[in-house]
Amino acid sequence: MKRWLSHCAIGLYLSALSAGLISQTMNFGSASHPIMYFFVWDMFCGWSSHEIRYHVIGEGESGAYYQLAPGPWQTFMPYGDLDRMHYDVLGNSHRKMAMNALAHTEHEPIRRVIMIEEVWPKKYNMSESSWARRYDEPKDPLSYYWQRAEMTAEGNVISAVPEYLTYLQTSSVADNPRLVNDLHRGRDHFVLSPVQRMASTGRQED
Amino acid sequence: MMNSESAVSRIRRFFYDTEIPFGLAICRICLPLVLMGMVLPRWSVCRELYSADGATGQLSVGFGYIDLLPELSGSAVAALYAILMFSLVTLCVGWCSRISAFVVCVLMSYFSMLDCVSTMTKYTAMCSHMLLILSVSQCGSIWSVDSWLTNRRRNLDPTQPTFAYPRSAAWPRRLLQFHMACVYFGAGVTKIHTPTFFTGDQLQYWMLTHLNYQHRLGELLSGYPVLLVAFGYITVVWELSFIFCSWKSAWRNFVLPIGVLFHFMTTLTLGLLMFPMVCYCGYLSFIDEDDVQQSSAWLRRQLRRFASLKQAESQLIALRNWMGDRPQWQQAGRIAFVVALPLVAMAGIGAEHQLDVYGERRTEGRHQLAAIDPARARELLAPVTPHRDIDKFFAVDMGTFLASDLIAHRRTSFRQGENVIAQCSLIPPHEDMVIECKIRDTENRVVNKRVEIATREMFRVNLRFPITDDMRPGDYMLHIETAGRHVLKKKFTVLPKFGTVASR
Repeated sequence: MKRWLSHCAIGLYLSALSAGLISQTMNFGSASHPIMYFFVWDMFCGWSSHEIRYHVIGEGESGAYYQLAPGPWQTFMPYGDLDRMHYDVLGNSHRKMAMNALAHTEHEPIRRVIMIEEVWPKKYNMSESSWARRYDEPKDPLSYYWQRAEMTAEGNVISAVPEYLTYLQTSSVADNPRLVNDLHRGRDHFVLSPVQRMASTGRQED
Repeated sequence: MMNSESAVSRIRRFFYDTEIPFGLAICRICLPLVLMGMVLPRWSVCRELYSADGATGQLSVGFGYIDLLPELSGSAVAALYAILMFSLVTLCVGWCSRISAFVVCVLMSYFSMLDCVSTMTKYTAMCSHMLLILSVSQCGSIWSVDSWLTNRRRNLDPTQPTFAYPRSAAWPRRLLQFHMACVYFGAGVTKIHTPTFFTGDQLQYWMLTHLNYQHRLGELLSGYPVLLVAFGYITVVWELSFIFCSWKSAWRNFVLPIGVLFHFMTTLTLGLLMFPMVCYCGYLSFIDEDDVQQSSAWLRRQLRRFASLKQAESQLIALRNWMGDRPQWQQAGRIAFVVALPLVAMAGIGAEHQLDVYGERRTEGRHQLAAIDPARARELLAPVTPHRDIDKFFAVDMGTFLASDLIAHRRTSFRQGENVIAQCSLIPPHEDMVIECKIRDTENRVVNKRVEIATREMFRVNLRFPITDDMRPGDYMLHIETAGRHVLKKKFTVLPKFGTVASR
């Protein structure tokens, strides 16, 4: 019995490891369930050319702005000298951080909560000595501030846009007038009004 | 038929040969110590990170499952977190080892999945695997409280140690080895899936990233992308071959030390701390009886050489004899472990309450939100600045030959007759661009000019021009422009051709 249990344990474990490897190699179902995180070993899945920091601020009714993340209590820096919020590249928990700060502090009524990305090229991370070795011109760093989302004080999203680097990427594609023209030509659209749906077949082409 | 039988018996021997679990025992001792480095700093903020009274970031959200795991109250989290820390200690000392390993595995996986922002990483996933395997192994049968509380079997053979170590099947250690090998194989596959890894671009950006601990060597190496490409290839070959070469053979003596060096270099160049430590714990599963016997023999030789060490050894033996065997305490030890868990949980709740992470019970009242300087707020909220040309270019480098499409040897002085390559490294994402390279002399006259188109997917553009005899020896300036706008410049010197009177 004990031997059979160990057979099963070995078989199950090696099957799970193999399934993870095959899924990752063939790029099939590797993001189908959170459990896949434990079996897909994508430790180097891409690093950005830009450094990104996040700011979560609230606008009070007086017009003053407040820092909502990190909260005004003990700052937790998990992997160095940066606050936890900067590791949330998907921005999934920034809203929760803001709501948490509002729930545990004294403050004037808050009109809106704003998420901002601060982006700069990583070349400006070089120290002055490294910069001087490679460049003939002085360092002139500039941060780009990109408003990602705006919410009510209750956390309801009013507006949201993709991250700054996605905006740059789409802008570079949209820079092609022929492509943009083609995009608007021959597109199907559906009439959603019930009155129009009755009057026509429901599908129109321009 | 014979072959298949021998293969089956080989597999059986591979998994079921009995051995003294030295490797697993060392892993059981070291892994909790490493994990303490991750768990202890999060204790004071466990309410904020993992409870419904904080700001969790569940891993499942990224996979499309909103809040898959239940979020407990702050006090419940404090209790469970205290049990996690207690279990790490008991696992390290080997008190109810298997239960401790299982408790740590479940709680650590749970907390990690609740906070994918600052707790869940690939090394925590690796730890979950390692702890799960330890929980089904005999890792606590030696060098542990459990072994102290067990009847030891005396060896009658005078050539053997006085007490016989218990033996168990090798399969848990084999599974740990497979786990490590699969991690490396998967990491290698990921790199193959990432074309820009082999151009050196991503490694360069990684080494310039300021998200981990300090890594000055990384910044230095980012200036030598050809070296990074070479290291990148070596890494991938090593990662893919690990699964084939790490087993007991002559290759193991190369593959494992390379792994140790590789992870040490990730600390220096990428600022990783916990990941290498966890991997080193995984490497301990490659230690078998022969390795321990050889190490023990070496250690005994050292003991004989140094009187102080010899004395320390005899003191340890005296301590062990004084402790004696306490098999009658075995049952009481287990009961004490079960009783300790709720006590530790209550102590955790009390300590966390005293800590008052949000300052809600402070005498001066609750915290106030920190106001932002109005000028800073205006800066943050202003419409985004148009992307500057300079921020689409990483650098311009000059040289005469390429390796892996990178300037192999950067120079700023060239001889007449040489063909120069000016390489513009671009920062993605960028649009399609016209890149113009103008060479001006000291009187600002254009003496040469090249134009290239950089499409949006390109990471670099090479502009080639010869240093003709018309370019007299002296200083020149290379100007990089796009759409007629200046972007970068680089100074270089032209020297006389070899063999001329002027070159002497």
